[in-house]
Amino acid sequence: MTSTTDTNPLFGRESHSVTELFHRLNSVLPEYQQVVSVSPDLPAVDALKIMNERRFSQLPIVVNRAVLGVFSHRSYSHAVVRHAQRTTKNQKFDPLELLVEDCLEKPTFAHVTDEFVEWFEFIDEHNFVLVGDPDRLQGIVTAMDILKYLYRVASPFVLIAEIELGLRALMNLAVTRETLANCARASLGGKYPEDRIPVCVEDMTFNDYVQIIVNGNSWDHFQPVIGGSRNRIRAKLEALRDLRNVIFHFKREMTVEEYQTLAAGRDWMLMKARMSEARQAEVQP
Amino acid sequence: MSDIDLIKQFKKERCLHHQAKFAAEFFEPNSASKHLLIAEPWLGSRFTTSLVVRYAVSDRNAQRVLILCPSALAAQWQYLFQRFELNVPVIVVDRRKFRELTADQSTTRAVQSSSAIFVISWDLAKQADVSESLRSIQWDMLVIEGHHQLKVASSRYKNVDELVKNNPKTRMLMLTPIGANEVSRNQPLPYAVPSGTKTTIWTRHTVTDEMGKSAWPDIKFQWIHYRRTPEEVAVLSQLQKKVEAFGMRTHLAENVAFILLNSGSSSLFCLEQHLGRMSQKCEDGVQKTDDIGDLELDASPARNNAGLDLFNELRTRLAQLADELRPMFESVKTDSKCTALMEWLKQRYTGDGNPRICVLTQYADTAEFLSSTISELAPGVQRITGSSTAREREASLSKFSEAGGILVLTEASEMMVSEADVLFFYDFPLNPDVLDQWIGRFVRFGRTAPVLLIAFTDEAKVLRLEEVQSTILDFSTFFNDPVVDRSVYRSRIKDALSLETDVC
Repeated sequence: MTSTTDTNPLFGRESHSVTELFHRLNSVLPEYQQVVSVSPDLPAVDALKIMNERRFSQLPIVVNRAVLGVFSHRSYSHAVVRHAQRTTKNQKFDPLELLVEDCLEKPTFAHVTDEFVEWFEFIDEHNFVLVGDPDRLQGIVTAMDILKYLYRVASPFVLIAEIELGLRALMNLAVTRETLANCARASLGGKYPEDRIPVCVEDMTFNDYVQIIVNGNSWDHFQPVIGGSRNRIRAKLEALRDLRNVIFHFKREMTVEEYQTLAAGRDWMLMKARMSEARQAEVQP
Repeated sequence: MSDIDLIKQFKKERCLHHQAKFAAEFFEPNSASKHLLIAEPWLGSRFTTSLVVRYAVSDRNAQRVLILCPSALAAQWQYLFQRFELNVPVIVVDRRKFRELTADQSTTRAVQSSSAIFVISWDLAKQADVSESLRSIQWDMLVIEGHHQLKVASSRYKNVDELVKNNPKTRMLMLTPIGANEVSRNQPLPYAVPSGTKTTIWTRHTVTDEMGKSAWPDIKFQWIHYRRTPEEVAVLSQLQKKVEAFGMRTHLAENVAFILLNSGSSSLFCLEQHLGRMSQKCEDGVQKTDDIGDLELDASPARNNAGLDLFNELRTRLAQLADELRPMFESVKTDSKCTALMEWLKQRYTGDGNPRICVLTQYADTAEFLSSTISELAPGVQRITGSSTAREREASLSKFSEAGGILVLTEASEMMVSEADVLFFYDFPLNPDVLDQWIGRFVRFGRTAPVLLIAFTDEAKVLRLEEVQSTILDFSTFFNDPVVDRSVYRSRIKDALSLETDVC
C-alpha cells in the first residue's frame, strides 16, 4: 500500500469535533444549497431574470472561482440611480444596457465556523452573507436561512410543551382529582413507594401519564376523552414519550419523519381538546 | 503471511469459510488489484469488506480508504467499523462535513499525513467540487458499493472512472448484488467494470463450507390465517376506494397510494400515523422545500414549480383523506393481525427457555405498536428501528442474544440477527428481492438448527395488495429457482394495483 502525503483539503480534521456541537454558520447553511453565480459581462436584466426564476435575492459574481462581488436587487437599483444621475442631454441612460459588473457590490466573507450571531447586524443590513473566501465560495446564508434554522431547533420543544400540557388538561377533564389519585395508586404502585406516589398531574412524569391512562383498570375513565383503542393509544403516547426523551436529553438529531410525528401528535391532542370542550359546552350550555 | 494463515486469521473474526477465502485472495501478492464481488444479499459481502478494509488499515498500512455507497448506507458503514478498535477515524462526509473539511486549508497542511476511512454517498461524490477533491487524492483503497448502478454514460460512472484513472495501482473492491440473473445465465455484465478486474460470485448454491458442503439451513414456512373484523374491513375498504379514486396517474401519486395501502396492510396504527404525518406536511410550509428535495424533482425552476403544484395538490387530497378516515379509526377497537400474533405468542411464550423470536416489520410505527402491545405479555421485549442509535442497537441485540425473548425490528434497522429461531414477517414484502434480503438477515450460513418463518394472511381479503403478497412464495428464490424472472411478479403487482409504474 502507498503512504502518500498531500495537501488535499479533505484531510486533517477529527471526525467528531466538539465545536461541531455549537450553532455556527455551517449549521445554518442549507445542506443541499447549490450556489448559482453569474459572470460580470452578463446583462443585468438577464441576472434579474435568473433571480426571479429561482426566487433568489442576490447572485455572486464569479470568474474562475474568484468571487468579484455580489449582484442584488439593491446593487442594481443603486447602479440605476448612480447612472441616471450622470445622464446628460447628449448621453441618454438605458437601465437595460447595464451589465452585472456595473452593479457590483463588494463581497464580505464569513467563515463556516463563525457563530452566526456575530453576523446578525451584517445580515440585517444586507440580508445575506457569503460563506467561504474570495477564491472558494462555499455558500450564502440569508436571513430566511437563519429563521428556518432557529425554527427547526426550537419548534420540537414548543410542540412537546403543547403535547404535555394538553395531555394534562385532558386527564383533568376526564377524571376528578380523587379518581386521578386512585388511578395513580393503582397504576404507579410498583414504581414509587406508597407514600410518594404522585397524585396530581403537575407532580407526574410523562411516563406516569401513559401508565395511568392505558392501565387496564383506569382506561374506561379516559377512553371517552382520549378515544380510540387502548393498544393504539398506548403506542401513540409511548411514541410521543420516546420522542420527548430524545429531544430533552439531546440523544440524537430528530428525523424529518419524527418531527412530523410530533407535530401530528400535537394536532391530535388539540383535536381531542376541542372535542372535549365542545362536549362540555353541550352538557353545560 | 500465507493464504492459509490469512484464512485462519479472518475466521477468528467470525468469518465464514467463503468470506475468509475471499479476503485472503484479495490480499494475495499476485492477486488482481481490482475485485468485483457479486453476491446474494445474505452472504455477508459488506461484512467481509469491512474486515478487508480493517486488515488493509491495520496490517497493510493503508492510510486513505474511500468508500462510495448509496447515501442510505453511509451510516451503516460507520456502524460496521465502530465495532473495530481502529486507529484511524471513520468519517461520513455529507455536504456540511465537506464544507468544514475544506474550510481551512492551512490547518489541513499542518496535519496532511493523517489517515482516515471516508464514507461518501454517490450523489455527493459526483458533485463537481467534491469530485475534484476526491480525484486529487492518492487513495490506498477504494470500495464501491452498488457498482451495478454504474451505467457507462452516467455521471456516477464518469466520476468513478476518473478516480480509477487517477489511482491506477490502488486496490479496489466493487460490491454489487446479484442482478436480474445476468450472471447466472452467463450473459455479459450490464455495467462497466475496469479491465483486469477479478470477479467473484456468491450465491447460496455456489458457496460452501471448507468441506465443500452447502451450508444453507433448513427453512420451514408457515402462514397464520386470520380474519379482519367488520370495523377494520370498513376502514381499509374505504382506504382502497379513496386511493383508487386519487386519479393522478403520476409516479408520485402512485408511490403515495402504495405507501398508504402498504401501511394499512401493516397495521391500523401505522396507517393512522402515516395519515397524521401526511396531513401535517400539508400545513408545514417550512418543511416544504425539503420534502420536494426528497422527491428528486427536476432541477429546472419551471419543472420544479409544476412539481410543486402537483405535490401540493396531492397533499391537499391526503389531508382530506385523513380527515375522512380519522373518525373511522375511533370506532375500531381491534387489530386482528396483532391479535393473531399475540395468540401465537401466548401459546408458546412462557418465560424461561423460550425460543428467540424476531418480529420484522417494514414500518417504525408498526414496530412501536407491536412492542408496546407485546410488552404486556413480555415486558423485556426489545425494539430496534432505523432511528435507534448504535448504542441502543448493541444493547438490544446483546440482551436478545444473551437472554432470548422477543425482538421487534424494522427493515430500516439493517441489523443482522442470526440467532433467531422463529421469524415473524409481520408485513410480507412485495418485492422478491426484499424478501431475500429479509431472510438473509436472519438465516446465517452454517447454522444447523432449522428456522421457522411465519407470515400472516387475511381471510377477509380486503386489500388487493395482500392477495398478490400471498403469491410471492411462488416467485421467491429461496425455496426454488434462483433464476426466476421476477419481472413477471412485478407486473402482477402493477396489474393488481392498476399502476402504470413499478413502485416496488
